[in-house]
Amino acid sequence: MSNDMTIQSVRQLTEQLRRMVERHFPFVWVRGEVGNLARPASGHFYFTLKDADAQLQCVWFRQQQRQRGTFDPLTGEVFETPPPAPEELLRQGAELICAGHVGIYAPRGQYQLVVELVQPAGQGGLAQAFEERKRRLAALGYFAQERKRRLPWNPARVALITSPHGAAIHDFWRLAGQRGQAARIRLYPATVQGDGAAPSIVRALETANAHALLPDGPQVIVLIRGGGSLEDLWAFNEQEVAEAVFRSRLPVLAGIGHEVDVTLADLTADVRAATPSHAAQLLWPTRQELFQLLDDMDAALFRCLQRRLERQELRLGSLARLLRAHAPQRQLERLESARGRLAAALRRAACEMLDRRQRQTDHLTRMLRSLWGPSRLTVPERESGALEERLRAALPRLLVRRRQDVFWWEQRLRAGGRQYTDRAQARLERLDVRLTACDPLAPLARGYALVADARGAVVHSVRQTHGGQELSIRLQDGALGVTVAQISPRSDTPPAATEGEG
Amino acid sequence: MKNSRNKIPADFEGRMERLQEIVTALEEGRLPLEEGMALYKEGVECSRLCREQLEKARHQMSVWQDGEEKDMTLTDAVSGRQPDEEESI
Repeated sequence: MSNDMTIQSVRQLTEQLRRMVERHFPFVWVRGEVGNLARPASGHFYFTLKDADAQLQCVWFRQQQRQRGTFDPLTGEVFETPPPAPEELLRQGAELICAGHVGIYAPRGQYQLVVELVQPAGQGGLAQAFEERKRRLAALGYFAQERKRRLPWNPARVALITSPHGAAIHDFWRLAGQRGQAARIRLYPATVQGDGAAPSIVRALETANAHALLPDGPQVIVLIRGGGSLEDLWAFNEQEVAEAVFRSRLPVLAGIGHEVDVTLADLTADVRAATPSHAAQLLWPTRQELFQLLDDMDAALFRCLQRRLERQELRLGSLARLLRAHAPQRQLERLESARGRLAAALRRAACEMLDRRQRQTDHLTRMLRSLWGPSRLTVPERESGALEERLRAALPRLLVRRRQDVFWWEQRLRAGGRQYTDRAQARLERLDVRLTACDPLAPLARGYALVADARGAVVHSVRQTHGGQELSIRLQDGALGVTVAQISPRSDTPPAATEGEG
Repeated sequence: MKNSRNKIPADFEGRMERLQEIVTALEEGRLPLEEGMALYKEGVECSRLCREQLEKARHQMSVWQDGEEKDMTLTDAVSGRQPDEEESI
């Protein structure tokens, strides 16, 4: 279906609806009461079928009416008396069963039943039988999409089941003539209408299936019948035919009647063609298509070859270039040039290294010079020479001087010592003289005496004595014990001082 | 991939299949050049034979009758067809 976002024209939408409706209701039976009946000059009937709850627009075209003729559409019985004319059948208020497909009449935007068959409601047995059978077979899975097989593509061996005398085989043959490969079509003749048609179709299906087991047996069964009235096609609604189609080992392609005709055999078949001609179209691609396919293959082949050759050529070219590139001469040249490059690089690197070192050395030298240059070194060197000279000269001098010092000091010590002893001697003599002079006993030698009391204390004055006192008088050669008999103090001088002088 | 020089099938589908196989193999392009060239030749031959077959293609009709296969020719004389049937597709 179309995208919701697309804005469609009324015509487009109606067209889609029409297709949908026609696909879903290709053939229906409807029962109802006739109303709004009209038959204009065209000869078509327009009417509604209605029941209590709904109504359905119907049209019965003149061409369809024409098909009703000399036999009963339901039984196939040939009428001895003509059937009721359409206008007799279609009367306002009549209860009818109509068969046909549902379509859409675009100019009025109206859906309608396009009637193919009309019968009085009383005679609805066949339609009911069809619907019941269809329900039953559907329940058995006869129409299930899952069991549908694909047709072999462009088959070479085809089993055709139809009448040898019908229109179908001619239509099929005519279309087949422009399509497919040269195929072998084997006809399994069958009666497709009237009594005995169903068993005949079943037999043909069984024979074709039996042949499928042979090496040259058919690959697919095509079951066709030309258009006709519903009753013409009735054999294809028989249960035994549907069963035989269902049982078929070979895939079955059915094309029965017109596009709007649907039989149970159609529904059971693996693929349904609208008509016998359509069956041929579904079975084989056109020759043009096949030629085109071959052209495509040829083109693909050529393209592949071309591409392959181009690729190989490219590869060859690149290999040749590689080979040239790897020739010994080229190799040598390449090596030589590489060597040259490397040598140059080496030289450059060496120069750079030397330069760098030189610059470093210069820099260091400059720094060194600024710190420890000869200008700075010469002075201390001279100084150190002189100092060394001086040091060398100083040592002996020092020794000499020290020796002189020692000698001098020795001299001085000796002299000093002598002086000291001399002086001490002299002093001693002087002291000795002085000492001798100071001896208290010395005067005794010259006649002086020393008076002392009983305790030994020297008596300096007469005041220290008293009458009768015992005293000692020391003379130069001994002592005399005396007793004071008289005391005569001198008037001017103290007796003691005189005595002391004494 | 069958190495089938001179083994082109006789029937149309077989040839078409072989042709398809060859095209696929060549499109994958993993074959040695020699083999590829051989396949290409075979493919061209297949294609030529198919084309011939198509150009000459005529369906044959036979009929199974009385337990055996018999030749059959369809003539338009045997026709109960109604004029509007052809236009029904």
